[in-house]
Parts: sequence; C-alpha cells; structure tokens
Amino acid sequence: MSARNLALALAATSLGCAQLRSLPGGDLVAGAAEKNAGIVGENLARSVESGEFQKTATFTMEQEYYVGKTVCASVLSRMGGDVLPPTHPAAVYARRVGTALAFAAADLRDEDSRPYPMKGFLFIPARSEAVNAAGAPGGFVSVTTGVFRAARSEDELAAVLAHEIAHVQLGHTMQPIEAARKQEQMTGVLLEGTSSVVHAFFGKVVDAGTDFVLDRGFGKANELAADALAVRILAAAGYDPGALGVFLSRLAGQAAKGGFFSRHPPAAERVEALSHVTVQAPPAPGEAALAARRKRFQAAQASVKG
Amino acid sequence: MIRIRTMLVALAALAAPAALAGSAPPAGKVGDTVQVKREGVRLMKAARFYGTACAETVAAGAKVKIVERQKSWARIASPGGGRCWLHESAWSDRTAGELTQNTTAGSQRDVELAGRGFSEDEERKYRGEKPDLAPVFQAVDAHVAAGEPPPEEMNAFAAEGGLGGGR
Repeated sequence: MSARNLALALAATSLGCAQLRSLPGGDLVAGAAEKNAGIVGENLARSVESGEFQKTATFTMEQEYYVGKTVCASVLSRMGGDVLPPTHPAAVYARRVGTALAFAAADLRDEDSRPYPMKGFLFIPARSEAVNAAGAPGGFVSVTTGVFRAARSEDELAAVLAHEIAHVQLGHTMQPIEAARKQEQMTGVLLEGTSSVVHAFFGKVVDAGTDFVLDRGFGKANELAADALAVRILAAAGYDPGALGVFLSRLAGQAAKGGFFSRHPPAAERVEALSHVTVQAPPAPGEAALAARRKRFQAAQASVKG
Repeated sequence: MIRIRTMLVALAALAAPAALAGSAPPAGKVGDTVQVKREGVRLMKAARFYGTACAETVAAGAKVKIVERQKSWARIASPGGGRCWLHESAWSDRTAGELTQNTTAGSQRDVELAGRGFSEDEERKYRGEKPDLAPVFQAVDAHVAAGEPPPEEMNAFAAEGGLGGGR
C-alpha cells in the first residue's frame, strides 16, 4: 500500500462508510477504511486521552458554540430527551449555581484555556434516573435530575457542575473534534471543499463529540485534571472544595449503573488524587448562608421528585 | 499488524503541524483596543463579577479601548465614560487556524478546514436532517434564550448563600 493510499485509508475510517460511498472515489476509500477501522479508532481515542491535540486548538469561540450546541442536543437526546424548561425551578437553580462557578472559572483561566463560551455557560437539566452530567464544547452542560437526587447539598451539586466546566475550559471537549480534523486534513481527495463533504464532516464530529462526552470520557489524565480544576473552581466560588471528594466517595458503587461514574477512573482513585490537590479554602460561610443553601437545594431537589 | 500500526501512527504524526505557537493571543494591555466577541457581557463598576453593573451595555463586535488593567479585568474608555470594567473573557478568542502557522500545504488545509463547517448554517442543515431531534433543539434554544442570570439576580443568590469567594 502506498503512503498516499494508506493516508486515504486512515482518514477514511474517521467517516462513516455510508457517507464515504456517497463521495467521489468513495468505494475505493471505504474498502480500505473497513480494513483499518479498529486501528484508527484506537488512534483517535489515544490522541484524545493523551491530550496531544489540546494545544492545537484552532477553532474560534463561535465555531465551538455551533458544534457544541449540536453535540449538546445529541447528548440530551441520548439522555432521554426530557429536557426541563428554563423556567423550571431546578433549571433556574442549576443556572444560578452554575453561573457562580463559571464566574470563578473565568478568573482561573490561563493562556491555554479555551475561550470563554460565546453565550456563557448554560446548564440544562434533563429528567433521568441515571446520575449523569456532560460538558459539551461551547459551555453546554447537561445534568440529569438523577444528580439532583444523588447530591446531598448545593456544594455537591456544584462539584459535579464544576467538573464539567473544567472539561470545557481545559479544552477536553474539543479534543475529539480536533483529533477528527487532524485525520481529515490528510485526505486531499475527500476534502476538495464541496459543501456536502464539509457537512459530512460536521455530522461526524458531532457523533464523535457525543461519544466522548457521554460514553468514553477523556482519559484518566484529563479526568483527574478536570477534578483538580473543579476543586479550585469550587474554592474560588465560595463552595466547599472537599464536596467533590465527598460526592465521589459516597457514590462509588454507582459505576456499575453507568453515567457520570462509568466513564471516569474509579472513584477511589479520583479521591486519592484529590487528596494531593492543594487549594486555599474560601472564607467559611456563616450559619445563615449555610441554612440558605440548604433550603434552596432542598427546594430544587423537591421540584424534580416524583 | 504492528508494522502497519507503526506506519499509521507515523503518518498521523507527520500530519500534525510542525510549528505550534501553543498560546492564546495577548490578553490586552493598557492602551490596546480590543474587539468584544461574546454576547451578553457584563460591564461592572468594579473589577469583579458581583456588585453594581453599569447601565451601559456593550455588544459583540464593539471595539473598546483599555485604560487600566486589574488581573483579568480591564477598565475601558467607553461606553461608561471610563467608569466601567470588562472581564477579559469578553474579547479573548482565537483566530481559526492561528496555531498552525507554518506555510506547508498541510497546515494551509488546517487553516481552511478550521474556518469552515461549524456555523449557524451547518447547524440548520443538521437540524433539517434530524427531525427527531427537533424537540431537544427547541429546548436547548429556550435555555440559550434564557442566558446567564442578570447581575442583580446573581448578586442576591451569592449574598444569600455566602458565595463569591469573599469578593
């Protein structure tokens, strides 16, 4: 196999075979693709998990917004599609808690951070028994009502949201898309620029992005990095930085049920890693503040029961 | 199999751009004029997210001159007559393809690809092809329209719960 054909085959495996056959020269490429599908799938996953594409981010906040919005719709559909309206008490509450965290995250940005989302971070609850949350490019954070029920405090709910904000800010959610683009750019034949090819690419990266944020996760190193940043975000926002460890420890047994825990390293490993994260604790909240947090958390939790 | 795998990995490595700058654009210095990229940004009377917001607003696309910096905040000349602060996340963006700056054909294609395909038009086409996702897209649209809570709402929420990191 020549280097050119090998490159074609490599790139071809990143598109669905049905899509490939509708493209010029598609049969040739698709045939080669089927031979190498497993290898390239491994390469894509390895690239994402190693984070090697993180610093090659070439997409603007506007581009990230549009692909992220579509990934979010796909994620919510796979969560069951029963999305709470923005006026629902739990949605209002998630928006406030999440925005307090997003403000703190904005002040923790560094030069490697992804641009702040074009329309800010959005926190979108969906009805589901599963304990699950997923950050998508562009600041779209989906969270199931199962998380509201599993958390025991506002600080624990905040910990889950902070972890997803961290994935977005660290660029993890864009890594599958960057990785797919890297493979794509090798194929001169496929990418002569017709709109149908570009559209096929868009559909492919939405699928890849959904798979990673919902099923695969971003690899152990990135998950632990997101945990560490989440702790800093929690502290900067004024929440208990230990809340993530408490939540993980209590729900360690949930991994077998899928969702938030199944695509991450084991909870015990995450808790152990968190023990090495040092952060300056925020000023201790007064009794009145703690009572207010408790009251509004319980109200939000009650709104998603039944 | 091992040899093929090695070749594929090598090809993937060759496809990576040779020169990666690896950093975001400068954050904006005093005297610089920067262009606001985000929608719904807050203009505040102090360099913090909580507190009193300026009555003035600034839209995406507006150009503002920086007259003072405090960490990640900038006091701007106008609107607001030099009294208002803007967070740097309002203008910190990347240019498509900016980190693939060599002139080889491969990186040129990177630039072209990075600039294409992720747009409102592409979202519209995708939605047209997936009618089953229409209710979910409509729900997401509703959340986008709701946006971030306004400053007074966040002030009250933070004050009640002792949030804001003591700021």
